[in-house]
Amino acid sequence: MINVSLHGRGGQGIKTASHIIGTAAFLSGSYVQDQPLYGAERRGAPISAYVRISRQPILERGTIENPSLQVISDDSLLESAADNPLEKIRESTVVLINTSLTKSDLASKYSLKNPLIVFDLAKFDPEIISRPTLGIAVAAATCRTLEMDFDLVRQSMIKELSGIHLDKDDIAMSIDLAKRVYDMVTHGETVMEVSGIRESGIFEMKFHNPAVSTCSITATGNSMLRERGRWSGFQPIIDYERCTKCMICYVYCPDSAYTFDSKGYPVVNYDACKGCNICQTECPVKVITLVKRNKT
Amino acid sequence: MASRYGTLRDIPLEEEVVPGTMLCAGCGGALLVRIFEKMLGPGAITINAAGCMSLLSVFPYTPFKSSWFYIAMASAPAAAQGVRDALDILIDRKRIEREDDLKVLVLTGDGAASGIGLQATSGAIHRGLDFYYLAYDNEGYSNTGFQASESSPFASSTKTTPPTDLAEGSILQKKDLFEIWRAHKPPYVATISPAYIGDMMHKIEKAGRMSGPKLFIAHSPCPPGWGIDSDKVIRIARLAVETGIWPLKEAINGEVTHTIIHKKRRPVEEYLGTQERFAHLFRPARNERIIRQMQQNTDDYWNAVLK
Amino acid sequence: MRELLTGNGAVAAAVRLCNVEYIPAYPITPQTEIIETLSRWISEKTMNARFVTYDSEHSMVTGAGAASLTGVRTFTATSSQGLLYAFEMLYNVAGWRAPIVLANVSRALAAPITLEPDHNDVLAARDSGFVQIHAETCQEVLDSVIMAYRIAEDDRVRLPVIVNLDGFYLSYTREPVDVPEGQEVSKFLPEYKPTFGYLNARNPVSMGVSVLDSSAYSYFKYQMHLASLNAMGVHDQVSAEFERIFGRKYDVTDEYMLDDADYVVVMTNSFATMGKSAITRLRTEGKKVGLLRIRMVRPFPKQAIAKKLAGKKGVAVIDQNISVGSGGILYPELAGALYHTEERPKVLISFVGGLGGKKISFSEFRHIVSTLEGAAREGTPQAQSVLLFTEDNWMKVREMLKIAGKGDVNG
Ligand code: SF4
Ligand code: SF4
Ligand code: SF4
Repeated sequence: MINVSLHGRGGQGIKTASHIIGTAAFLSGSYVQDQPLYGAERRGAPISAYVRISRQPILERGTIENPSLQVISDDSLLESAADNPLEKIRESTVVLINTSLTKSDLASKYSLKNPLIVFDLAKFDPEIISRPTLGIAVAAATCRTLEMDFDLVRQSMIKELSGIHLDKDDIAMSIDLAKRVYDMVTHGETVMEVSGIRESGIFEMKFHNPAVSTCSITATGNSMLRERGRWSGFQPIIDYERCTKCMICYVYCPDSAYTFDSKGYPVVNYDACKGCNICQTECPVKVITLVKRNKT
Repeated sequence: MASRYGTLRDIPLEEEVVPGTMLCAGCGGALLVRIFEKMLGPGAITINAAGCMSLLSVFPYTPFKSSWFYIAMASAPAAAQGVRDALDILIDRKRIEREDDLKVLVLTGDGAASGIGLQATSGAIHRGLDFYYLAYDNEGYSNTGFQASESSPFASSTKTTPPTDLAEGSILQKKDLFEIWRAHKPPYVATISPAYIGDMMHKIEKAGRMSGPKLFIAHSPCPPGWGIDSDKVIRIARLAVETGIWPLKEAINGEVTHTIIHKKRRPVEEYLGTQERFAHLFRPARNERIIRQMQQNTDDYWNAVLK
Repeated sequence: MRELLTGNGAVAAAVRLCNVEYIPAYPITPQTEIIETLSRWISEKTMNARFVTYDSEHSMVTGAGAASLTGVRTFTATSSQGLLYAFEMLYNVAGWRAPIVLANVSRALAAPITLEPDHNDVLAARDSGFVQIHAETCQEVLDSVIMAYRIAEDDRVRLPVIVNLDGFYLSYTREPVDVPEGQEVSKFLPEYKPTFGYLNARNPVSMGVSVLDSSAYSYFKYQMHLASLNAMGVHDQVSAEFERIFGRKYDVTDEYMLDDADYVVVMTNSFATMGKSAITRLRTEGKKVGLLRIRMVRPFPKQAIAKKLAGKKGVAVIDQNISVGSGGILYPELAGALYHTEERPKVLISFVGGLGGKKISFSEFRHIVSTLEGAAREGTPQAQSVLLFTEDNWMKVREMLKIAGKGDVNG
């Protein structure tokens, strides 16, 4: 059984990607399970989806613990503290990732020994690769890696995309995009079944004092410990020469990302910024620009 | 009484809600909560009915510096009653100090406020409970992916009111929660907008001097639900006020005053045209009848106000 | 002081003795008398508490849990449809580990709507996390409410408690009750001083937080289970102390002519009194029968039950409830408790009776015992629950069906 685990951000079309891959495999005559992992995820938050593909009936359910192929739609996820997809791979898992880094840079930066396939969607027109079309590109790259025929991908996309009410022109454009991505990905790593058993003994749970074992949080304001920033590829930069210290950016930031320096200039906490761009739009003198997030 | 909040610059600088929540980038509700909590300051308890904002704290993380309590969708005002009454008992009996006292804030979405929680709210207002209520009105059940709520506007498209050839999105009118609440004659009820933070601060300050139910309905743009870019949240909220769709007003003991009046209102289609949930009114063909009807509704409202 | 009190009166008296400080309320028959009595005492200032009528049982239980977490001793009461209306909040209040005491006055559930008791209401809440004590007499009602606060507020438990009493059969029935002195009760039950987590400005806390991790969810849930299991030991300790001060003794089960009995009838709540009367009479007929009443229904005292029933020839479980599509609710729980005991009874038979408060007659008890004897002899007990329903009962229903226009229905 081939287990494909997809990781992206809410709003990128990762669920659609899993459906395109699932349907393509289904059309090829395989047994398939696909499943998005719904949680409290919001636009921009890390999310995942799973596809299982097998020649035999599938006797598995739920999340994938032993991915054959780990697909990562956005390399900012590798910086994530709480939901890092690299933590979930096994030795022989093939990693397919959308990044501008080269294979060797990636391997050394994250000390990765796994077989790697990189593709760089940044080469495409950002309008095309804007969410949620990203999912379509990711699906195409995945199908290529799984050595599926593009014709299956095309059929699958027609089925899935009309299901989410895309019109004919949009579907044609999406297929065109998928083909370009499909052709761009150089496969060469074989995706194999990865053993699923990880042993862990049974824990004997004892009674704990209710002060501990009641579901409450006695820490305060600790949400900064979770990955939050890097939700977007962009970050606001302020031109301090022209900033009038009017505080508008500070007031309107929904995420409390602004503080002030000793001279009263606004300072962005980039770990807290979700890149909503409200501050840029509202700055009355237009001195905030959006810059692609530093990749290093 | 003079206000401490002459300009935006007087906004309290202490953040009561720190970053790192799971809410969407650009969430209007998140901004409203942030400002509201700043105004209440430390020593508040936020009683949060199930909805998007109940994802503010997810074990083991919380962005709150003060207390927070997640309650089932239907009964946040009842929990507020329990907490307020218990605090009063404990203070009366000198079992806790005055400094232990909490300001009680009920935080719910429009689904809980206008629908499933309306009975509990009516009860709490009727009993004269001393509490704040912030309803962030994003006009749909956003936490479940944006289905129609009783607060969804006429002709808006949601997951359960998809526009088809037969219906223009939601065929029901938005429930008038302000009037429902006002009919209880609470000491204070107001509408607020994230684009008018000054107005909002004045209202919270004014309400803070009163005892009893202090109720706020906040226009709360929701980027994924409304189909808008996150950076446009404030602009769209501002347009809602400038077109007259979202009147900013308050009622003290039932007596209504409009706090922001634009003598020359922009046409409502400027507001409608910014959002995917109204796109079917413009594409593929312009639905003149509905747009005109919505303009008429707004004009009728303001003509009555300005008379 | 010994006086005549109804079950509802006994609840109210106990609540006043426990120095309860907060009472969220909502009327429902046959519970209403409890809250009427309490509100009268509060307005007459013979009780120092705050009484608030909420807009529904759902709100009422929410408010009760929230107040308890803020640090005041809280009591509330409901019945039947009211308990079901509050259902979502029962699980919440238990999960918050808010030590409230709730008196449920049992009344059968709609539809069809009715007034007299069976236990589908309280047993619907059996998995919620509330500890459940089911009482047989008005005295036991009073004593159980007092003990309930000790159990609920004990940090080894810290779960809410339901004290159950049957509508009509106890709620409106007066019988002699020893009402203890206030100071004695205060000695037994000190002031409520929660040791953790409380809602006030100096100790900020996030309560009722969602848990989206299934391991963490399992942890919190199972901890409730362990705490509930502790309630058995805590009950025994509390009960020993109660006996020392007040001279009355309660175990998690109660028994009647059990020791030398070959055949045992298992019951709960006030109908056990009728069971005891039938047992006495059957003994005069030479039958070696006895009765076991389960007093603590949650946690379910499996070991105590297995011990009491070890070596018996036959056991009949009378469930005054019905799980539609399965039968009696407590029967499978007993079967589970007995399965691995070496000397488990040969036969264990399920009876369903007393639905909607229908009395269980002596003939029905006699039928139960002869069924047990027959099954023990032949070793082929019936697989399905047996309904306790007499010819007389049927004639009455048949007559009503006729009047209702259903024709003459043949039995
Ligand atoms: S809004 Fe613009 S001008 Fe005003 S403080 Fe922010 S960056 Fe400076
Ligand atoms: S982009 Fe949004 S989140 Fe980031 S600093 Fe600006 S307003 Fe705050
Ligand atoms: S769905 Fe809407 S209301 Fe909910 S978090 Fe996202 S923006 Fe906010």
